[in-house]
Amino acid sequence: MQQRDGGDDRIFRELYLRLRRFASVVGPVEEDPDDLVQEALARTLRKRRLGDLDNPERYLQTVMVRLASNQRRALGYRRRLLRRLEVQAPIQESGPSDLADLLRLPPEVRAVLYLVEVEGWTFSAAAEVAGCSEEAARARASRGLRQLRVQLGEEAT
Amino acid sequence: MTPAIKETLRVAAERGTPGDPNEVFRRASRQAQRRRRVLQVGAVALVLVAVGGAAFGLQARDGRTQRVAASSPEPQSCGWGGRAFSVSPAMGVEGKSTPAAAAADFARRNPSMAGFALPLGPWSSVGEAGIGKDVRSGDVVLHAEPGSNTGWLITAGRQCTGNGLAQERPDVDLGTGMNVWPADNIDSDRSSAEAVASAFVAAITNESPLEVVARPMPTTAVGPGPTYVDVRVRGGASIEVFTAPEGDTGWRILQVGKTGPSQPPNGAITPDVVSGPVVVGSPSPIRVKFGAPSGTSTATVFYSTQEGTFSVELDAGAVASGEVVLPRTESSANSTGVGSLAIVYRSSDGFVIDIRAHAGGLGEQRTPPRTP
Repeated sequence: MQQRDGGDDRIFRELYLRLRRFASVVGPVEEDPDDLVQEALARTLRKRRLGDLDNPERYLQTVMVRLASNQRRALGYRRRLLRRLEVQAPIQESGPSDLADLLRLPPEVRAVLYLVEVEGWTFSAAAEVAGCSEEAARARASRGLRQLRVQLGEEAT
Repeated sequence: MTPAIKETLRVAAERGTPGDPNEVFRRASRQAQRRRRVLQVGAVALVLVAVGGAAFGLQARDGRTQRVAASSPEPQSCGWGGRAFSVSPAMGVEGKSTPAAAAADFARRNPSMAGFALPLGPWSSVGEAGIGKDVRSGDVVLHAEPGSNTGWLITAGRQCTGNGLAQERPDVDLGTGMNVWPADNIDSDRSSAEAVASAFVAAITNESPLEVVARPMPTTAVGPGPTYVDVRVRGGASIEVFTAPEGDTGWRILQVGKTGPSQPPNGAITPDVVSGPVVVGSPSPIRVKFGAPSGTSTATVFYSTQEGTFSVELDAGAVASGEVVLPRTESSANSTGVGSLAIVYRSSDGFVIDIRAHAGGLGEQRTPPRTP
């Protein structure tokens, strides 16, 4: 396997846990984070080997953010449709309410917040993954935090 | 950032239980390989379809061979020596009860054909030629053929010139996709019909035909009329491709069916095409029902839309079900549906058993989105 994949499996094994944590944060709550990691990896391997990438981790994270954004759009459409048809949405958000509030933020904002605040990345590096400029990343993070504070504050009161 | 939010992020990151990275990698790797293969097959199919695209419900351009050769200067009789003109389906409406009614309808719809004064007088049949009938009024002879709705449709015509001598005149674009050719004669070059039929069959079967023979209909006396082309493929199956010239733009594939005695275009077996379930705000998918010949193991469905020609592979199960829902390709709800459709049936050893086709305007009627 190692020979056939040119060491890609070894690279992936090293990155797996970090990628999975990232997928847990940016992915939709309805989806298993492993599925997002697998889809991002499949799309990447379709075109190139991980060994050919300068920074495979960052590349896969970018793919995951984009996939999560697409899924969010699709899910949003479905939720709106179900609401309009007055059908009870089968999607149930689970977990603590502050976690649910966090997962309501757009994937790009979650990605920036997670990478900067938890992983300790710079805004510039996080912006690359989120596919925006550093300024935009700062603005998004700030807006996301404000939104979270409001939501958490409302719940507290 | 408050510690609570940071903690929330950490909790979110630990959502669920991590799986086996080797298993995730193996699945993703297999998935990537499969997609790469699909992409390669798609690219090859695209090239093939592009080659035959002009033939598939469209037109092939070959200005050299599609003209009518003027090799026989002697006019046979009034009606054959004048200028011929081809007729596009849009110029007439099929389903008229008699050839004369079809001719009258044609004349009423096209009163200003350049150079041809189409009289609306009494139409008389001037003799049966093959499956069609020639209808004459004044100095115009129109050729009518049975249409797909069991009525009659005008497919070609010619103007008599009194003494039967052909007149020189420049090509006249009538603005309906049809041209009038000068000095047309009874002999037509059928090689381009053979080329178009051959390219079409090669594109959809992925193999070069063994033999291609044009079989003009008896009605070619009125000019470059519709032509059957018998195409024999490797597996031994013979396919009959029905072509017709379209102005000076080439030959058009009208129908594809089994080789047999000459038959009208509607004689070929066509798939039973019905609209699929209506989805509010979306184009209705096209469901195609078909009866696969015995011995069919797999099949490929080709269908043309405004956005190109696409294909769907059917496995044994899908073939047995006798039905396929074509994947929707339209980018907007307003685009038209499937234009032409062909099904290539193959045996378990990959030989082409049969090809069936259906041409024209499937699924064009859309249910408008309902307003909430």
